[in-house]
Amino acid sequence: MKKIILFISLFFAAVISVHAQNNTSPYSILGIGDIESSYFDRSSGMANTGISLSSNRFLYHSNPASYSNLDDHWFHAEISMRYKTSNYTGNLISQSSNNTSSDLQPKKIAIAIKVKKRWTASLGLLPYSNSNYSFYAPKTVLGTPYSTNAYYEGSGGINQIYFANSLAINKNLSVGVHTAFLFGHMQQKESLASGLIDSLLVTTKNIYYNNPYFKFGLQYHKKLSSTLKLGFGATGSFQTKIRSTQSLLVQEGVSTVYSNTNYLSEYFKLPYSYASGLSFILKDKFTFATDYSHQSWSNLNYSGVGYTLTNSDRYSVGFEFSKKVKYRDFIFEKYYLQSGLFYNNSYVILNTQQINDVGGSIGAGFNSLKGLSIMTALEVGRRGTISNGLVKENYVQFTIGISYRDFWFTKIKRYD
Amino acid sequence: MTKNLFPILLLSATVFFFASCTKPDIQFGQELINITNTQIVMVDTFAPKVSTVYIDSFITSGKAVGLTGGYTDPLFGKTSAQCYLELAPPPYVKDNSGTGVSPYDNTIFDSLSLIIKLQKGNYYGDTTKTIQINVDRLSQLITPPNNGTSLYNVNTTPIITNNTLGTGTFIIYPARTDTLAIRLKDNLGLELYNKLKNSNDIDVQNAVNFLQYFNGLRISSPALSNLVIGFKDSVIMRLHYRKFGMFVTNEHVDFTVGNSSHQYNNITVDRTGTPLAGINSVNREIASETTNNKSYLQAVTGSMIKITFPSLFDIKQLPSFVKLMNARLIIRPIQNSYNFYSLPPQLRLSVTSTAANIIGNDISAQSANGSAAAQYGNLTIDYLNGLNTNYSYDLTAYFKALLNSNVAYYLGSHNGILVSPPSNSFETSFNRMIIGNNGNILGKVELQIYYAAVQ
Repeated sequence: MKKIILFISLFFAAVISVHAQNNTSPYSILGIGDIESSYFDRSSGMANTGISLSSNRFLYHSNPASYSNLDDHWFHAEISMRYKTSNYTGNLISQSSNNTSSDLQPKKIAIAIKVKKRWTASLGLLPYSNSNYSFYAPKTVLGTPYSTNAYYEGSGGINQIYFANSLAINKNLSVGVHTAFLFGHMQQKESLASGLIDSLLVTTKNIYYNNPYFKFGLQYHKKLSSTLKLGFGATGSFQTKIRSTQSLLVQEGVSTVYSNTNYLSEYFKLPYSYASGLSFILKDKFTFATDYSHQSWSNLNYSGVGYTLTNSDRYSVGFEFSKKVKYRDFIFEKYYLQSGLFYNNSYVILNTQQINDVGGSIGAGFNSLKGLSIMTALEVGRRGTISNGLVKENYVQFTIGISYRDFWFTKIKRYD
Repeated sequence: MTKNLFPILLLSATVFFFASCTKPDIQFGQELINITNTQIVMVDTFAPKVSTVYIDSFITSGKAVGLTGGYTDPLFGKTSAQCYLELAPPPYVKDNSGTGVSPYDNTIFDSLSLIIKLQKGNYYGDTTKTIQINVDRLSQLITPPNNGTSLYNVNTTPIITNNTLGTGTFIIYPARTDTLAIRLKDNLGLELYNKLKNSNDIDVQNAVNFLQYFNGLRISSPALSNLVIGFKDSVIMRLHYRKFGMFVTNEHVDFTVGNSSHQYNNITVDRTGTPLAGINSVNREIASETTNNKSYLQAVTGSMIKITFPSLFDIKQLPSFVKLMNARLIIRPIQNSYNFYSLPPQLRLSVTSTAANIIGNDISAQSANGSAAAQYGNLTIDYLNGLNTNYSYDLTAYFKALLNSNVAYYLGSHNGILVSPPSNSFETSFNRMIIGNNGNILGKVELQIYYAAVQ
């Protein structure tokens, strides 16, 4: 147990030290930013295909029902971080400028406890969305044909602290509820350069989000034959209003020109969403899985000049090879290898063009007998297009997760 | 277990290492800018009030410039100028060598002339016409009024009448002519020659004595002149003599301007029949509305322009106003008003707060490094059609200070801005400007206010 506390505190030390985001994501200026489609769990190497999957040792966050399959008497902890590098192309981007960005960020921490034989609880911190952009643009001075130079910068994101409960109803069917508290802060900054105006004028808008959020899931697993196992999973969530409050601060140099800490209080609506997945596991070795998820943004009618938010669909397939060995009646997985493909129509239509995201992944994981596992995944993707004056982002991201487990009730005799 | 913790520690270290990456700027979708609360708005509807202001008198002594001549300007009136100056004798060479030889031994007087070096470019009027220059001897010492040290444009010093020392008539070629020489009367020359030669005559042995004997000169032009010229205060009265030795040599000695702070110009203007006919020391200010929406500036003849902003404090009532960000004053000379009579190359703005419109501190702009920078309007001339000929000024600091203070800036107060040439041009240059008020489409004064509006 002491080791687990050490493990968690180390992670938090890392989180505190690197809160700076560097990865610019031009599309994240819209809505609540880029919605994170990765769960930073074992499914990352399979293009995040995991709604129908579960494990005795790993957490699959895409479906809260999956936790009930964890081994009895164990305490599970997972942390993940991701290194991402992006390169941007587009007609608006000159060749000479610095078009590449990269950063490494802690993304997840989660623990799970088998409370009862059929009941598992999990607690953790996951990203929900993030916003990060910066660019220069001219700003028109009203009443003149002139414009002044402006620099725009945005950062922040929404995270979720979740508490999930998973219940195995019978041998085949389990259900789960993911109760999350969404909280976040986004900062948008406009710096008007001096020139036509006599000094630098900086407007900072801070938007705070917070609200509970629920996701429901079920999983059904059935052995079709002695070698083939079928898995089915589904999740859904209702439309949710996120309370957002804005504060506005206008500064000229260091002196405050305008300050309103309660500038605006409103709601941002998250749409209802659903997802389902199907998997086949052959000889307890080969896994084929496919997922489909849908977020229904269209009927929320979010739009602005040049953009609308629209329904978002994500399709993914994944394959996994698992190397297992048998010690007497105890089956131990030494390592696994994964691959996956995905296609995602994002929730943004910009200049009549829906921004899509397509890519593939490979992954590998290694387990030690003592309880430590390492999960790695490499994802390569392309988002957006350069047509219609848009920007294309080619990205490579490497996720590394560490899973650790220990006996929850130490008085139970260990067999390993 | 410690072995297993090693990768975690390694990862944490890597995290620290990568924390200092740079964030690239991706120019993208300007219309998506989601922070539009702050707007910069420009308004030019604060009509400045413009008037012509009478200048009482100004110091013309010690400006290193002499003026003579005159011309008739249909808008500013009949102007004439004359210069007064004191001379000092050449250094006295005393016979102290014991040889009994004086520099004037074996010499005879030749002639006396006045040499005037022109100030390049300082002329006004019709250079195709000749200018006549008369030189007269003063009958009194040049004495600053009121026991002061300065002489003014309104001062004169009496001359010995009907005894003009010399007269010259010249055509001034602005690009070529640089020196004028006027032959002076021989009897004066001979008198000076004899005084120099006679070592018992103390009149030319030092400046004080010389001044008592020779009070000074007036350089003037007749009343009906067509041109006024400026010249350097290094006027020389040169005495030529011939020396006999092995050969005959031409020699000269110079009487130069002794006390340049006593060199001054008298400038008079007759405004009869001009739009400014009514301006005088009693009626000190004429609103542009009563002079056909125009105001007139020619400091050397006693008029300058005052600009006031009666509605300035209404700025705070502008929609969503939070802060004044920039204030620019654009002064546009009336189209075609400066084809023949040149515009002042530099004009300064000064604060004033008195009924007499006394010129206060110049309004400086804040330069990029934060220090105060003098502003002279950066005159740009639109040679094509004159629409964009203008002087422009940064009044941001001035307005900010006004808005932050409790200074009463109401209609009827004397607070305002005076437009005039910087010192020296003010007193010596005849360049002039006519501007319109807000109702004059041929050249209006415009105040551009840039402010930050937060919605």
